[in-house]
Amino acid sequence: MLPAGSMGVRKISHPLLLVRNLKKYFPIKAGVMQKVVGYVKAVDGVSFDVYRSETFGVVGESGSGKTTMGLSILRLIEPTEGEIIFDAPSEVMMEIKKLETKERLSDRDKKRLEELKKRYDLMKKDKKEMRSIRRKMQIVFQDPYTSFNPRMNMRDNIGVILKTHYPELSGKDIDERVLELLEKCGLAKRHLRRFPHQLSGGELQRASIARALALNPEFIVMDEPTSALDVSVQAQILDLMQELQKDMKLTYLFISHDLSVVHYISDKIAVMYLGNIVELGTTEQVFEEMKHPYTKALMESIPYPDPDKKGTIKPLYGTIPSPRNPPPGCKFHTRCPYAKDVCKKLAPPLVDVGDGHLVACWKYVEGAYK
Amino acid sequence: MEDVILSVENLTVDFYTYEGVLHVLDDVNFKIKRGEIFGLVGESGCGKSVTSRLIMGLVANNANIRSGRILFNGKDVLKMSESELNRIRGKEISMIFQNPIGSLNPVFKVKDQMINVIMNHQEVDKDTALDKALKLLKLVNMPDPERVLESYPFELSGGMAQRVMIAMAISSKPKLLIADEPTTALDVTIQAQILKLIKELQEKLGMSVLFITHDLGVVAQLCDRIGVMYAGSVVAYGSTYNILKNPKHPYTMGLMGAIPRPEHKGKPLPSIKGSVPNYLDPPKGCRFHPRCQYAMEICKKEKPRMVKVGENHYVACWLHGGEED
Repeated sequence: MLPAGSMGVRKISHPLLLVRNLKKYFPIKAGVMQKVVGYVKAVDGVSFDVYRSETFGVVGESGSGKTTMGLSILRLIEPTEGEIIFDAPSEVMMEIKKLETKERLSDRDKKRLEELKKRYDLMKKDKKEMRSIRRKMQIVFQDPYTSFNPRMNMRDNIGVILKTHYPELSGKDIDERVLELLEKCGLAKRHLRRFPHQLSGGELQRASIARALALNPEFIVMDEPTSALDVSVQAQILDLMQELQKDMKLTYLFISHDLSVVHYISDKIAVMYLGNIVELGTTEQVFEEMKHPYTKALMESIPYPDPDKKGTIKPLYGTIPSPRNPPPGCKFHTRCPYAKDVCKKLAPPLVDVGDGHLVACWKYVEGAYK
Repeated sequence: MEDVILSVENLTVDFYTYEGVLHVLDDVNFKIKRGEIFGLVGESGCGKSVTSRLIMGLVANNANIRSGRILFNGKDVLKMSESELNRIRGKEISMIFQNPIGSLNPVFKVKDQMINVIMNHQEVDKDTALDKALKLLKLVNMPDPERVLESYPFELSGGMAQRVMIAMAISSKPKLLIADEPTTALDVTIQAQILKLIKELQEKLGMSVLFITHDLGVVAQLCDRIGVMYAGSVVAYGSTYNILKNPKHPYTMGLMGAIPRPEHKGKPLPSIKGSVPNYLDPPKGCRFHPRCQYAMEICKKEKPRMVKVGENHYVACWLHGGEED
């Protein structure tokens, strides 16, 4: 079911997903005529690359737009704008990357870039095409209790997906496949005929992962998969995810508000604040050489389970502003201890501070922070 | 025993349900001293919230208290009449909850709810109560308190609503504040603010705090002493530092190990196998034995006693001989 060339073990990883300037604006309607009076800019222009077989972590507080971004990438909600280039052959991906980083593009280059992007851009696909592409991209939701049909047993809950995408499968085929999936995720035959309410949170989340694997995907959006679980169960699920990733060469977009979980599981991390990526880099870069004041503040707010660190948390002032009416300039300036005039007026660009470590803060733009 | 404000002794409670009798609390013991923050930690369903409700005298109709007592200031809460309970509830013991917005009445302004609470416990007129409400909001570092007084709960953020709840809870200067997962629904940055606030208020007002949470990080930051609960029993008890630094009970060890940390990166996380037992038919002996990697024969038969394993550190586990408390 998988395209050739995507499986083999290769030293150099290629991008599986390129997201460019993705935006999702929700209209605010008011009055009898439901006139649009403004927009909630939930995702306001994010760009990043996700490489094959890696885990790309996204952290942020509630309202930062991380879930909306995950749903937009799968086009489960329709993005307002942007490009989502998914699963192009690696030569194409490399060519796109090369053209994008080129300083000056000739007209021919521009045309070529556009043509390449157009061919693999999910935004350009119609409903039917999207349906077949979705076999390769799946999602696991935060709340396992509400993400299954309560009137169907687990066999049907998972089987219905197989039946939808492969109507030719017989009932027996589906039985076998569902059992295989459940077993892969640490469940057993006895869970097959059980209903969602008869399973614990951890078991349900295992079943959610089994369901996501049903169509042999390459890419899975994990939207806070362990937030509703206890620590001991969370550890089991994180272990399972990593095992499956190794076995099936899966690529994860891991969304979470929990920094320690993201640190543990991710290869690269994007920190989001009010719809923008404020810092992006490898896990080491983001955790050990963090640059953005917001990332620092987040780190300082985590209570570590180490009694030697008692009293070390430093609360950040204020709350996340409403995305309905975000502050001008850098959206973080209202809570930032280093804010200067420039921060209140202009939004900072995402600049490279070394080795692909990107930060959106005027402090790191030469000559701007005065 | 003057320094003890609350003492929970041998508390064993069953609940009658259509499915059968749930044996929830199994001999729970702990003491909270005056002016300390005591943490009750455990995973969901371990009985920590049930315990806190019993302390408030909130006993469900289907509960059967098989044994034990809860001494608050030397008097047994479980034996108090409803009118006696009403005198201490909200006045001497008050409580804040996990979902602050849901804990406020959605159809009244913050002002009205606060005045109501204040006038209930103190003999003041409405203007004085309003004045007090404003002072309380300032005490909890509420940004823009005048506006908040005129707001409805849905206009507040989670962090602001929790500050309102805290302001109401401390309005009559309680001796004991029960905080049931007060920061679980909040973002980390807001959680840090609320934790700092609770610590400040506890010092300023000299009250005791019973802090209930599942988050060992929060406990490490805030609490002087803790009790770790598993399946309706306290399995480890004593100073936070000793328990977390040098865990002795296999469950506490497992919990500490299961927290993702940078040094685990790239390696599988050590997790506790299995899941929490069903209260309809809890395991005999030590309730943790089916998940415990060190389980011995005796663990399946007899419930272990609390033994001292170090300075201010007690565990209920057969692995440790120790001296009995």
